[in-house]
This record gives sequence, C-alpha cells and structure tokens, in this order.
Amino acid sequence: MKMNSLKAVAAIGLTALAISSAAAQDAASKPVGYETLNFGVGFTGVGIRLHQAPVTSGVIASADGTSITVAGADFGALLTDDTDYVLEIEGDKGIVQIINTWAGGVITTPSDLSAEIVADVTTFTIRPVDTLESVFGSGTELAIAGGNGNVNGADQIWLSDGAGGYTKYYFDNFAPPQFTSSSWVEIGAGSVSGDAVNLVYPDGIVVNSPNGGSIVVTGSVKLSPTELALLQGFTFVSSVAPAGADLTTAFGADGASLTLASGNGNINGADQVWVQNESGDYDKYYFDNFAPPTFASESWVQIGTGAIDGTTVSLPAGFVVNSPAGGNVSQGVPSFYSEL
Amino acid sequence: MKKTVVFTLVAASSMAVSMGATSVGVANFAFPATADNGLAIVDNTGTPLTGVNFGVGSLNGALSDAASVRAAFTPLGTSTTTSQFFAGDPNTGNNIAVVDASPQDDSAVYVVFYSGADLATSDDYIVFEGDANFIVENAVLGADVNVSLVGSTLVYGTETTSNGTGINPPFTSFTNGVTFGSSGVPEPSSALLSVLGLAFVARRRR
Repeated sequence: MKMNSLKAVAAIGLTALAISSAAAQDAASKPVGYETLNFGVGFTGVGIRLHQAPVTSGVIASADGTSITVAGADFGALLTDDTDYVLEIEGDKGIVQIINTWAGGVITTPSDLSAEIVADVTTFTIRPVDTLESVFGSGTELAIAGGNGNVNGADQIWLSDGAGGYTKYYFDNFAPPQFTSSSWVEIGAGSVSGDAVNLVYPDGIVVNSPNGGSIVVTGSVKLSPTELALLQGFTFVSSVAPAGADLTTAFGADGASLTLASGNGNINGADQVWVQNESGDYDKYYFDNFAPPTFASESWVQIGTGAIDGTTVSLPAGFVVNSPAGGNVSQGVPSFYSEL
Repeated sequence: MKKTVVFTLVAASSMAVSMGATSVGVANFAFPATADNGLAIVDNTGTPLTGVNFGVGSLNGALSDAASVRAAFTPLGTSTTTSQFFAGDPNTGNNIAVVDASPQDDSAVYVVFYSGADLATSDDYIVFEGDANFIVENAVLGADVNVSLVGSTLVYGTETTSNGTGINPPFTSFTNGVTFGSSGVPEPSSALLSVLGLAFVARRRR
C-alpha cells in the first residue's frame, strides 16, 4: 500500500508573493512551492498544506462578538462578492475561519473573536479558500480517478461533517441521474459544483481509492500556527506545515508547551496522534508527563513501544487525532519557518 | 454561498466517531451507454428484475448445482437490489451490503444473487467472482469496496439477453443479461416451455 509521502515542497521554493495590504500595512511575502500527496488503496488521510496566495493582510483595530474591524480598509474593493475566503488570525492559537460577508472595513465572523484580538496589535491574513475544483480539478483536468455513471472505480473524497460523519464526493464523467454530462457528485445527494465545496485546510481529507494514486498541490506556505478542531473520538487533520513537521513542532516538545491533552503514567485522558504507516495501519503516539516504563520523566510515547524522541516522528500531510474530550488545539510550525 | 463542510473554532462535538467496518457496493452498469456496459439480472424471459436479494462474501468449493452454491458460499453481508440497474450509490439504487466480518485478506468478493429471500431458502442462484477484493480495514474508517458486475466473472448462472422491459433511458441500450441457473445450461423461458408443451401435445395427437 502506498503511503502519504512528504515529498514536500521539494522544498518550499522561496518565491516572494506580493499581496495587498488592507490597512496600509507592509506587504507580506510568502514562500511557495508544490508537493505530491500519495494515497493508497482504501482510505488515506491527506491534508492541504499549500494554499492559495493571500489577497490581503493587516492589523485588526477592534473586534466584537460578530465582527472584526480594520481601520482604513475597504474589503469591498479587496475581495470578490459571494466568494468564500479563509480568515487567519495570526497568533499563538492560529484561529481560522471562513468568511463571506463584509462591508467597508468590517468583516462578519462566524464566531466571537473578541477575546482573541488585541486591538491594533493582532494581525490577520485573508486568502481564497480551496475547493474540490481547485485541488482535484474536473473533466479533462481531473487529477483523480472518476466514475462513469456511478462511483465504481472512482476515487472518493470524504470530508468531515463536523459531527462524526463524512460527506462523500467523487467526480463522474456521466453524472447521475441524467448520465449525460460530467460533474462532481455528492454521494446520496447528486451533482454539485466543485467550486462550491470548500476544503478548509486545518481539516484532513480522506481519499477512498480503489487503486491508489497521487495529486500535486501547489501554493503558498503558511508560516504561523493553525488551530485544529478536534471531535471527541477520531478526527482527520492536516499537518498544515509542508516540510519539517514532527510531533514536537506540531504539538510541543515538553509539558509546558504541549497543546494536546497529556497522560500521567498511562494513556488515560491523553490525546493520541495516529500516523498511518506503510501497512495501512497506524502508529500511535501520545505525550506522557510520567512516561513508562520509568515513570520518572515526561516524554512522547509510542503506544506499545514506550518513550520516544518526538522529533523522530515526522507528520505526513494527513493524520488522525484520537481525542477523549475533543476541543480546539493549536498546531505549531517548525521554528525555521520564522526565517522564511 | 459555498458549502463549508467544517471549519475550526466550532465547539467540540459530543459525537464520537465509531470504528468502521467493511461495506461493499455493487453496481451493474457503467457509461458510456453501450450494450456491454450494463448487465441486468433478468428472469427467464429476459425481463430485468428488481428487488433481488443478494449476498456478498467468500466462496470455498466447486459449483455444480444450487446445492453446491448453498454449501460453498459464506455471506458476510446482504442487501436487495432496488432497481433494474443499480449501483453502490444511493443516487441510483441502494446496493451496499455491510460486511460484519471482513476477511481482510485480499480475497475476491463474491456476489451471489438469490432466487428467494436468502441463501438458505433459495433454490437457485447467480454467482459472480467480483472484480474487487476484500482489503485490510482502516482502523478508523473500516473499508469501502465497490464491485462492478460488468467487470466481474460469472461463475454460476446463465448469460442471456435483457429485453429492456421496464427500463427507462438511458439504460435501454444495455442488452446483456444474466439469469438464474447453471452456466451452459440455458433455462428455457416460460413462453418457450409453453410452445414446446403445445408441440409435444401436437406430436402425441399425430
């Protein structure tokens, strides 16, 4: 079975991208590159780690329960109406939200960000959201296997519905129920526009493939942390950082910096990181404040093996967090990203 | 507005994700619409059938008659066709059988159609060696395997022609069919039996 491989960003080409500034802030530059995401037969978790270029950034002047305000900005001129964008709040948490409503310098936010914003200090970036169409293509540009009137032979894209289930898509060259034209199809619901299904990058994407394959993703690198929304139980997530990500860069090297729930001499209560291996099974890890077998010091632990060096466990594009409680956790980036 | 499936900063759900099992979808058509791209389950007159019960599972043993099918086949999941042309896709017919205990051993998925309600009470069968195999289940999501009868091997049953009765476009162009009964021993249709019966009666009278 093939595995997700981090042929990452051969590595992150350092092309500078000029972006607009929303409030007379300095224009930012971001490294860009490409990476190949392999998927095997059956289920493979992948993640989008290269993104569409930012369209604007700046400093947030204020925030309340439903919006943020940027002094001097005109988002009507910077953004396209009826289009979804990713709003990234740049801070230790790395909050990401999807926005599609704005007026003047005010952006409506899906949830209350006021506690996360320091007026005139907290910065943000806005970039277009990726979609089924932008990542996987369609028609003659389709990057995965399509169906012919039904899902047989097609690679399926499973996206979390946020409640423990998955919404499943595939591309059909003869999409039901008419079987006369090609379209993305939501299994159980019919044809959908591939442009209308967002791929929000903190969330993992499950590829269910009958034969395996790969896609190439291009785009810009996010250099700051990203908040992950964990369900109680299993959540497929993206490692977001396309190169250099390991257990310690993502979730902390010690108890003081750890962003996941830890164990105390055993796995009870700890968030587990499951990384798919070449056999299709998972290698499972958690952080223990009193790691076995000595129970004398803290360490990352591989379940069934014992204490390990967390820096030796590279994170593929997609992996699973098995969380007993769920919740939002921050995933960091390698320290060298600050120099990119 | 675009459909956003999920985004961060949502409150943690209390719903746990369950461990997966194997599901097997079964389809009997593909497009483009050529005669060879569809394969209907038909009766002995060639009329496509719906509501046919079937099982997916493993086969161990030679097939010579209905009793041998019954003995050799171990159904691991069952379902019922909901249209003449069906697929493992609710858009075009619900034909997904959930397998309770997958062998996970890369062995072929066998699909057996029953003449009756289930394996034990049926007196005839159609058996396909599927064009997909059971695979190792993902520890989180299980496995999801799809079988296309068009690409599968008929190992018990009779190839025949579908007369397209009850089929709406664009499916009418599919003319291939398979019916119950041992391969190589075509079962005469009811109409033909009727004609033959009349012929015998006529012969006796001479």
